[in-house]
This record gives sequence, structure tokens and C-alpha cells, in this order.
Amino acid sequence: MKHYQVYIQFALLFFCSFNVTAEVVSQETFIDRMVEEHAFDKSDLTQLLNKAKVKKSILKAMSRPAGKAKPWYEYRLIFIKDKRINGGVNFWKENVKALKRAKATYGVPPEIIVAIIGVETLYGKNKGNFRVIDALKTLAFHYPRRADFFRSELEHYLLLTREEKLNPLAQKGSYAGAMGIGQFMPSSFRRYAVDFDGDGKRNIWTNNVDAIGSVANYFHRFGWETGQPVIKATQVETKAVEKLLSLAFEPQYTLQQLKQMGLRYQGDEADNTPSMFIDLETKIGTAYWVGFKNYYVITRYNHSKHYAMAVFQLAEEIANRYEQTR
Amino acid sequence: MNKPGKFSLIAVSLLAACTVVSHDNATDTLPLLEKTSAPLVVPPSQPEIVVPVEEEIEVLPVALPLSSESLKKTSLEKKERVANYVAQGTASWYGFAAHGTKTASGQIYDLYGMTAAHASLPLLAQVKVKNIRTGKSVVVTINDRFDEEPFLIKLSYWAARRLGLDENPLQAVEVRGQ
Repeated sequence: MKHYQVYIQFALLFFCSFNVTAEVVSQETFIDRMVEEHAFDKSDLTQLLNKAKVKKSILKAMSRPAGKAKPWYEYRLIFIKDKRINGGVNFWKENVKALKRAKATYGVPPEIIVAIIGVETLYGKNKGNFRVIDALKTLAFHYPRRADFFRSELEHYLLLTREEKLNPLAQKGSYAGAMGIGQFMPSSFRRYAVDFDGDGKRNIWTNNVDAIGSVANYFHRFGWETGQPVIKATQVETKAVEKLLSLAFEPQYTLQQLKQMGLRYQGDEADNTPSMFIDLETKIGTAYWVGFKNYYVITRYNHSKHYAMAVFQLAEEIANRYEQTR
Repeated sequence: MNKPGKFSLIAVSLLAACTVVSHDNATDTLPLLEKTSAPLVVPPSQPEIVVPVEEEIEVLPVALPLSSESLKKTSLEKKERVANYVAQGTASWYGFAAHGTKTASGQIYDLYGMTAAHASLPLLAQVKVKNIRTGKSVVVTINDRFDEEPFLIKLSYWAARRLGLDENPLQAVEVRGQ
């Protein structure tokens, strides 16, 4: 059985490697580029990358079927449960000042920030135990399907540890190199992480205030619209479903355009509101929603319709329960 | 390579995705319950009902549903308080087909929302609904109108599931103002 699983995973890896033509660059070439473009010391960097380990467990984890293979109603149960809702209420209470300030500064409501941190790491409890340098070396040089992406993340990681004066061998993260309480990839760290408590450091690993500010800034920079809806249930003409599902996964149509295609949305949003059509498998049938700009912004954190819906619904449950306990 | 295997996997998942359970409105299929001898509305003087002094006591019932026009002018943040309301009875819940339809409050019904319909409680009032048998409770926002004997309240699909009513539809609930 074990053998069989390994075989399938290799077969998948093999299969996937044909899908994308990624430029496989050797570690040596990468080092030369870092020396040339960012003035790294060649022998220092070679030594550093030689200390990093290629982990088979990381390649294995990457080739595991993604969460989206599960139907929505099963995916949902992983995230929307009492432990995560109550943990969110506690996290909110413990960080109420930072969350208020994040709302005032970036316009992102506390429940959304809390839900992201809840889904990503259960409020900082599961931040990942891989060395970031191991994860990124493994995936940059031994995972052809996304080598370009991870080589770029490795470059960002080396730059950010230099900029932030961090030991590149010491930072921990997920098997994909996502770091800290909000699981920022290195490129996201450099673009969106903020020092939200003003101590001179952007510490998203152990500082809740910086993590909260960074998540809020990320949402703000991707265009979060304060006070606007995220997603609403909708009716739809049965014959229009196929057409609506073939549209891009982006709010690039107006509500009016979707209505002309057969959407029967009954809400009061203006006809020119940018919208997208979403279907999810519930236990009692396929149900439909209209996602707005804010729904799309959540997918910028993780490009999955299930992920974004889980964050939204967890946020709603946390807000509801937080209000009860005040 | 095991391409056929891959395709059969896809076929299976497609099949699974197409298996849509047809679903009648749950309220239609629920057997009617005999009326209990217990009073449906417990008078506010009962000892276990604590009414905080600083709160205004609402006069019930407030029968007329607000139009969605007038609701838009009031902030949805402002929750109605109905702290002195307690009642027991059975609950029904929305059928699958209601997902995406407009409620009396103007809000859109979502099967995963924590909402309910009630005959008289003010719209946007929050109430705690408890399964008396199991002790499980949820807080729902009244956002719709409904008056269907013998049911006390009509819950969203997910609120009903959280209370375990999908398994045991006849278990009595207590509705208590917040």
C-alpha cells in the first residue's frame, strides 16, 4: 500500500512536470545571479545554500492532492468548527487594540483579519516547523513544476533576511516556505509586511501586532473595500449555470451583465457592481453565490474559492460569537 | 503511466459532483406536532429571566415587518434588544430552494447564515435558540417573517443543523431574547 502511494505521487509529479515549462536553473547559476544582481558574496552564499537540506517530505507534501479536491461541505468542516471559532474570539480579545487600529488604518474589519490568521495557523499555533531555507531550496531546484516561482521566493528570502538582519538558517515556516502567524511568502513579506508596533522590526513570526497589521495591509493593498459586502447567496436560472461558471474567476462583470446571462440576484447592490459567480457543493445540493470585490481580495491570499468562502464564513461565526461574549 | 486510472478518477469525481440530492422544502415534510400543555410564552416575571436594569423592555409583539426601504436607513449594526422574550416550541427550517431569496428585512437568505424567521419579534433582533433536549444553542438574527402553526420559529438550514434538528426535527427549542 505504501509503495503504491509513493508510485502514484511520483506519477503525479511526473505528469505535472509536462504541464508547465519551467526553466530549471541549477543552484550554481542561481548563486551567480545573486552575486551579480544583489552583490552577495559567492562563497558565503554557496556555503549557506550547502547547509540547507533538500527534503523529500517537502516534495511529498507538495504533490499531495490539494484541498480543493474535497467537496465544499467537507472542506468547510475543517475550518468552521468550535475550536477555531472560540480561538478566534480569544485572539480578538487578546489583540483588540491592534485590531481596532488595523481597522482604522487599513479599513479591514477585525473578523476578517482574525479569520485569516485562524485558517492559516490556528492563531499562531501551527506556523510550520520547516526551515524556510530548506523548503525554498528544495522547491527551487527539485520541483520543476513551480521552480520559477520558488526560485524567485528564495531570492526574496535571501534579500529579506539580509534587510531585516535575520539568520537565514534559523527562520521557520511551512513546507512551502510560508512564514509566521499569517503565513507570508518571502515576496509578500517584502511588499506587504509592516512594523505595526513601531519597534523597528517586522516580526510576523512571534509578534501578533505586526502580524495583524501585515494581514490588514495586504488586504488594503489588494483593494479591500471598507463596509462593502463580500459574498451573497443568489438564485439563478438553471440553464444559465453552465455559462456563468465558464466566466473568469474574477469580478470582471457587472451585476447587470450577470443578470442578463440568467443570474437572478435579489439583493440591492447597484447594477454596475463588479461581481463573480460562485458555486459550492453543500450537503443538500449545489448552491450559488455572487462574490464581490472583497471576496476576490480574499482569494489573493490563497487562490481558492473554498479558501475564500471558509475565511468569510469563519469571520461571520467569530464576529457573531464575539458579540455574544462582550 | 496510469492515465486510464487518472481518467477514471476524474469520472468518479464528476459523477460524485453530479449527484445532487433533490430536496423538498423541509417544512413541508415535517410531521405536525401536538401542542404541548406548557405555555408557549413564559411571562417576564419568571425568576430565571434576568432583565438588566439599564435596558429598555420592548413591548411585544411588534407585528408589522419593516419594509426593506426603511431598513436601509437604519444601521444594520444596531441590534434590536428583546431581553424579556422567552418561548418554547418546535422549529422548522428553510428549504434548499430558499437560498438566495429576499427576506422581509431585505437581507438575502443564505443557507449558511445564522438567521431565522419569526411571527412577531422585531426584525434584526437577536435571539438564542436552544435545543432543550441536548442543550446546544445558537444565536440567530431574526430577519424574516413567518407564521406557520405549530412552529415557533423558522431557522436557517445551518442554524437547524447546528442544533441537531436535521437528525431530530421534533426536539423542542427554547427561544430567548438577547
